[in-house]
Amino acid sequence: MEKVAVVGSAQTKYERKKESQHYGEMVYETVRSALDSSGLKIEDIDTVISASCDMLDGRSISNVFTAEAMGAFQKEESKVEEDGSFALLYAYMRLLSGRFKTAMVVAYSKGSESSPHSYTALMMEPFYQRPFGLDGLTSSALQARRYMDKYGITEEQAALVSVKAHKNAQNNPYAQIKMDLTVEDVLRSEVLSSPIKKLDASPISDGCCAVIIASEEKAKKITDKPAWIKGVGHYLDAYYLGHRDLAEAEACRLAAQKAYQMAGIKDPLKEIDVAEVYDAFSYQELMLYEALGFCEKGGGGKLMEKGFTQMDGELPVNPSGGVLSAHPFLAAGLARIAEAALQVSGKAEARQVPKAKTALAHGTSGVCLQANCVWILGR
Amino acid sequence: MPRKVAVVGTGQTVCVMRREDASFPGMIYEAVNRALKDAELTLADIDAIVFGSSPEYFEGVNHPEKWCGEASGGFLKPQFRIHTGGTVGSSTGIAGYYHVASGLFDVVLAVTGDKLSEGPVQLCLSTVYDPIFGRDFACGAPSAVAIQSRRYMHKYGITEVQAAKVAVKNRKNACNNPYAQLKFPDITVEMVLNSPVISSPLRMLDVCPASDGACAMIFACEEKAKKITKTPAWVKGVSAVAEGVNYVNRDWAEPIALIKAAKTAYSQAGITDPRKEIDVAEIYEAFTYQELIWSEGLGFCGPGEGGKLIDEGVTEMTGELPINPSGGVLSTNTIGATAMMRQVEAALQVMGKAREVYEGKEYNRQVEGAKIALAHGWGGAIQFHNVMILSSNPD
Repeated sequence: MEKVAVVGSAQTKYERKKESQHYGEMVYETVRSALDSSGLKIEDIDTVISASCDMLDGRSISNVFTAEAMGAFQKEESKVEEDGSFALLYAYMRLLSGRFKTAMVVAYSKGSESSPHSYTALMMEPFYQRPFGLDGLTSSALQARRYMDKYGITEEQAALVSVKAHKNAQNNPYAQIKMDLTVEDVLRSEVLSSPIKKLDASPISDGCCAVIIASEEKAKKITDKPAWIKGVGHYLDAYYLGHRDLAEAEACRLAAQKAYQMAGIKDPLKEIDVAEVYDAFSYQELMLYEALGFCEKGGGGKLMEKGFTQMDGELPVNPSGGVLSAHPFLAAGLARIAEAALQVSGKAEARQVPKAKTALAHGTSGVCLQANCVWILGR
Repeated sequence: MPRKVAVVGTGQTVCVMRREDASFPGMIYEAVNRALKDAELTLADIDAIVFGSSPEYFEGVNHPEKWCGEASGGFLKPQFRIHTGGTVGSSTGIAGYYHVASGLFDVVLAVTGDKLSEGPVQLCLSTVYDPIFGRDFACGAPSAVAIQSRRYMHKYGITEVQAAKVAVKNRKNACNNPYAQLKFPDITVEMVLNSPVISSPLRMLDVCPASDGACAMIFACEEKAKKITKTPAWVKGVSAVAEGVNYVNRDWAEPIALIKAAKTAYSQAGITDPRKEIDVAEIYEAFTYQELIWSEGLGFCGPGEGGKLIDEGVTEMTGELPINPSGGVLSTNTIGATAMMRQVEAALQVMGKAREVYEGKEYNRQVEGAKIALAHGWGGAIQFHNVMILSSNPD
């Protein structure tokens, strides 16, 4: 199989509201700096795959306009309307086929110009579930409650995730919410949908992320520090919340298994040096520890308490501050891959995990971790 | 050289203006089951699923691939969604191809659909226009294509009669397709010219309908394909090219993205003289004039010769290069599944399966001896073009 690596990336600074930029400008600027980061010109890019959403852009066929901004003019182009981690997957498939040597992957959204409530409420089943007023937040609250009940996870344990995320975010120039918090601060923050409190939840963000991947020969020419793709897996779980045990991120577990198998990883906690996961809500990060095999089922809370996933722990999770500190829909998963690639390339600056050789990145799409995409990157 | 990939099974629902007996996931389920049955496979044989549908405004459900997760066969399987507007059907087929060509998966099901009866389609499509500079005069798809058609007529002297002949040909062909929505066995050029104007120069019979329907196809690697079917349709070339949306800089009579996509797909398939070497084409003619413009872009004739092509009967069922034996998009347009139906119909042609008995009635749209077929998808704001070449021969 052809070897493929991440050879460049760029992210905007994530902000609550990018008033000075049209979303096309935001995309253009990010693509421009991704090219600069790898010393490439747009002519060097063979194919462009994007992730965007009509409902967030307020515009049918959202890539109609952004195709030009991302340099897809007269190029082989397509769009995956999922989290950006899935767009990267499609680009990766295109390179593996041997037809293309380089790909630009772009994901963006402006949460400030749409309604995150509507965006997720409209994901719910229209006839039987929507009348209950479920959306991303309320269904995640049901998930959090089920997870707590099943495994005795506490609000304090979830709060620790938030404290860690916002602390780590201070080392990330792109992060939106940077704070020194205590568990007490998180517990006292406003209840959004019990047991989820304001500081357990990710913010609304505007932002864009672009990642460039290249096949082996090209990758070696472009950079002396490529982040090689070692494994990937993606799985979908049941749609109706009642058809799942919400305490189990089963699709994530399957995706991780597949990625580990491809990458030859047997003991993830030992073999992975750093992970970037899509923690839209604090308790979800704990669930992901379990699904990714960092601990046994129900052990997420303990793992957090013991500090395993802190910057100085055995397996730091989200040195960037994660999605809790910046949540641009669609771009958030691709940003996890960009961050993981920076880690294995040794370019993560203040948030660098020393000697990180193998990194995991996780993206998700849908509510309550319905679809998951897990990546392993290595030196 | 990429891995060899073939289409090994297909499934289409009958398309109608309004499916009252099935939800959107219900239609997806139907298409998936038909494709599985056609390939004599079960869901256990499918390694991954790729889903495609058009703007989610149509059905009013965000992330419809999640809603259709189980129906598409994606429960606890790899699945994601492609959405590129009108091209989504062919983009999803192409993504299915790349799933297998990548070596990550061996047997992949691609499924697309839309239920246009559930939403205001033209209102949704008007949101394609730029929110600041374009939406004041946004007027859905027909009016944009009316501008394209007028430009094409003006540039090359194409006539309304020539466009009407496309409607006559395709609407008659549709009678041989059990899945097509509109069928006019007795249509004449006069009927087209006398039909009401929708947006000048487009008349009612120059325009596609809005349909409810779904379509699925199964792709397999060489080893598996040969085991699954005796008649795989080998994917010999694929291309999906975008151009800009910057209206003033574009000549809508010159489909530059299509010219480039065709060139790429032909070179992959080793085709040097498309009109001679291709036996049948299924192209995305949502409006009559577009069949002529796209024929030029695909190199079936020179620039400005689209009118002559239809006048000379080249693209009739009995002609040198039949176009749209299925009745094409003029007869059925679900948007979501439309461009995949082009790929499915092209595959059926090279598999020799474009004749069938459906609910006791015989339908035959087979181009005799078809070995190489072309499928085309169009979308975006007259800016995305997809081309797939299918062949009965793996080499």
